[in-house]
Amino acid sequence: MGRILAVDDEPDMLSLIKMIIEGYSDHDVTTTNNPMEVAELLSKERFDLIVTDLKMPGMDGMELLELAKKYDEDALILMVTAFGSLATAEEAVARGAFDYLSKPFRKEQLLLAIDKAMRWREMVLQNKELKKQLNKE
Amino acid sequence: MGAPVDRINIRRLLKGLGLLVVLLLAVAFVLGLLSLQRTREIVSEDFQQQQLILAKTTARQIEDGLEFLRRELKILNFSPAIQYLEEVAWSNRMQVSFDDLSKLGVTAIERIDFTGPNAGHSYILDADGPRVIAYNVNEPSPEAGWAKDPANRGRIYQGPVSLQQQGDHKVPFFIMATPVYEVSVDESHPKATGNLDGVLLFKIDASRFAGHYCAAIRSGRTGYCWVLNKDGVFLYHPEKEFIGEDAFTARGRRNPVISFSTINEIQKSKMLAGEEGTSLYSSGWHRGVIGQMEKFVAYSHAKVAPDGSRIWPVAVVAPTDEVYGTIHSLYIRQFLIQGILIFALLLAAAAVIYYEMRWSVELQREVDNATADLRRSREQYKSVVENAKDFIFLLDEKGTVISANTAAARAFGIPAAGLKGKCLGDFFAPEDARPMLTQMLDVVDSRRSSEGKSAVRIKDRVYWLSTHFVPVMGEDGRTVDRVLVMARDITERQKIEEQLYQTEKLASLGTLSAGVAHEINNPLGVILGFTEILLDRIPPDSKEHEILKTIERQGLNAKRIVEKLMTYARQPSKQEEFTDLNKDIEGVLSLLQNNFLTNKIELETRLARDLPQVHGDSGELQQVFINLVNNAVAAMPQGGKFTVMTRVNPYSHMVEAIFADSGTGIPKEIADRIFDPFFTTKKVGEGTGLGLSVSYAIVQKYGGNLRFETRLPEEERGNQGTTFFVSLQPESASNS
Repeated sequence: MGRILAVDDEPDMLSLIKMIIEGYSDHDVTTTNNPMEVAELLSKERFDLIVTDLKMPGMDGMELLELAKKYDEDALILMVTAFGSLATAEEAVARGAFDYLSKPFRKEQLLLAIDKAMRWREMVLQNKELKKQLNKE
Repeated sequence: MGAPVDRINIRRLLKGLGLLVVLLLAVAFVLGLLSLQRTREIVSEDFQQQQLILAKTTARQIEDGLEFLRRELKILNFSPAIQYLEEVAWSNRMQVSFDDLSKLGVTAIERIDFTGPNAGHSYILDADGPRVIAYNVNEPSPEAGWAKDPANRGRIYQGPVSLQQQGDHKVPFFIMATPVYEVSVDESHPKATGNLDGVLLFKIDASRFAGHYCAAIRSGRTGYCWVLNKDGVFLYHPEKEFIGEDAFTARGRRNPVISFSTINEIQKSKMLAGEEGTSLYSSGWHRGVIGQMEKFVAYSHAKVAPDGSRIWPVAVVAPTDEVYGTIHSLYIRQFLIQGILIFALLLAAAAVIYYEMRWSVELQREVDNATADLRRSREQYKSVVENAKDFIFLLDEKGTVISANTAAARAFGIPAAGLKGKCLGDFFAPEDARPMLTQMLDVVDSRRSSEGKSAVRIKDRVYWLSTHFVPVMGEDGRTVDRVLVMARDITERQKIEEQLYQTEKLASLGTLSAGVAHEINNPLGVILGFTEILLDRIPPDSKEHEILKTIERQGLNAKRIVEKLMTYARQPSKQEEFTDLNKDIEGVLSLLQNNFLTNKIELETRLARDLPQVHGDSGELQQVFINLVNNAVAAMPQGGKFTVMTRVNPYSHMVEAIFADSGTGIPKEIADRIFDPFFTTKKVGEGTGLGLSVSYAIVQKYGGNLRFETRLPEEERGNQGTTFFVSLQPESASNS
């Protein structure tokens, strides 16, 4: 069970994402439609995955990616974009996002992406733990 | 070229002018001669009349002189000193009269006494003084005899002219006498006897008497006067030798070679006959000059006898040379003036002709230069017109071709010469010719240029023409009698403009699409997401499930449209993508093979071998080809022929895929809209109207071009249909 932060300026989209994740997986979802609150949320809590819209007022998905990396260098970002063109999303992956989804997406696409991210997260954390133990020994 | 002609003209002109001058001179000469003749006549006549007046005046003066002598004789006769021959007194009294009368030629005063104590004596006073001489009474002189006749008391006797030899020349004399009666009284003779006592007479030198009146006469410059007596003897003549000589012989003696018949005849039949008149004669002497000369003569006569029974002819003569000489000198002066005037005129005319010719030559040179310039200009103009790529032709006001250049003739497929006399409708389609004719007539009416752009069909080919109608004014400068038509083939430019227009349209559409896609995808994402969740929760066979499926289907439909729209927003592809055009086409054709069969469409494929690869994404290009094939199939509902071919365009060197159908063609009114997004001729739901516009965007993205040609059934029955040309850059284009 992981903790997921969903960020989108559209509350309906947040509701949909939350309903899909919580309805079809056992992950917990925290949502916010104000990107400016993300810093505060990140400072309080540690999230396994951040699902964020690319284009938002105040702070876009790319800035959010930069911010998240500051709090957790292993932070996983799933970029969701409504742009038909995927060029920006591809650029986001190049700059450190884990994966991207284009709107509209089917729920399986979202669940698959989240599942893939969570497994990766688990592997990364496990790897870190093993490295720690190895260093101790 | 005109120089020889000029010289001939100049020569002719000069010849004519010379002839004219000669003619003028001849006419002037003849007129001058006639005028001279006439002037001579007039002047001669005038001169003769003046001479006649002189002759008459002289004759009257002679008559008056004789009358004066008579009176003086009478007065003297009344003197008692004369009548009674008083001692001393008679000579004193005679001396008083003699002093006056000697000037008139009186040479002596004589008193002859017949009776009384002094009878037989003659008392004379002459230049030698007074004297008394004996007088033979028994042999009385004619005048004494006449005086004795009592009937002659108180009368005057005038004797005939007699000649007296004095030295070597003769002197003509005549006697003027009157009887002396003792009728006066004085102290010595208080009582008059009244008896005849004698005769008193004047002895008169006729030449001196006549000379008194004639000598001063000047007719003209040197003309003079001479006087004859009734017998033709010279009483007076400036040539002293002639005085007292016979006028009929004296001249001949002097100049035997000269014939004096004329003057002799005049003297005889005119002068001595008592006539007055004028004439001409040959003379041999004039004031000391000896030689033959012609003279004017005017003659009259003086009646010398108291009863008028005797006459003395008086003549005034002058050499004709004096009169004619003056006239001649006048005429010579006049001729000289005329000559100078004519010469001056000739000179002026020559100067005028010279300058006129120089001016003409100058003018001719300028005209030649201007003509040469004009010819050059015309040649240049012709060359420009002939070599112009534009179609240039000249129409009359009814739209009939007057002339056309090579480009026009080539486009119309008729030799330039054959175009003359043809109408616009002969080489343009009627629907194209009509508006052109209307536009041309507007230009004729408005006299203003007009421009237009239109697509016209000339011999199976569609041209975009930018046509310029220019009015050409007629000779009156007000009405248009021709129209110059300059049509530029802008087909290629039009295509480029259309492509540019499409490109710009796509670019703005791309910007718009990106924004629209984002705004639609968000709500679409929410709708489809929730629909999907609801579909999981609603039993599949329920009515609600069916409704949700419809919502989902339409949502997905919208999603596809947005995805297509996004084609416009995509960034230009990286040029490294290449694909094999033939393979892509073959793939599409095999995929759609069933469509051809079901629609009874005959497929012909002519794919070029060794075709280079082209820039483009295989999948996207196939999408383009699918669109084109689907459109072709839709255009042939009754079946037809569909030809697909590939080639390297020999001109542009682009690789072309050509899709030609024999369908219904694309009507003109929609031809320029078929690449517009959402433009479709299909029913609602059958097509999105994005197929061709997306295809266009894809081809453009790879630096290619998509265009078409179409032939409508009404234009090309049997050859109708639409052909699409997909031009793509060959792989070699990026290497080069």
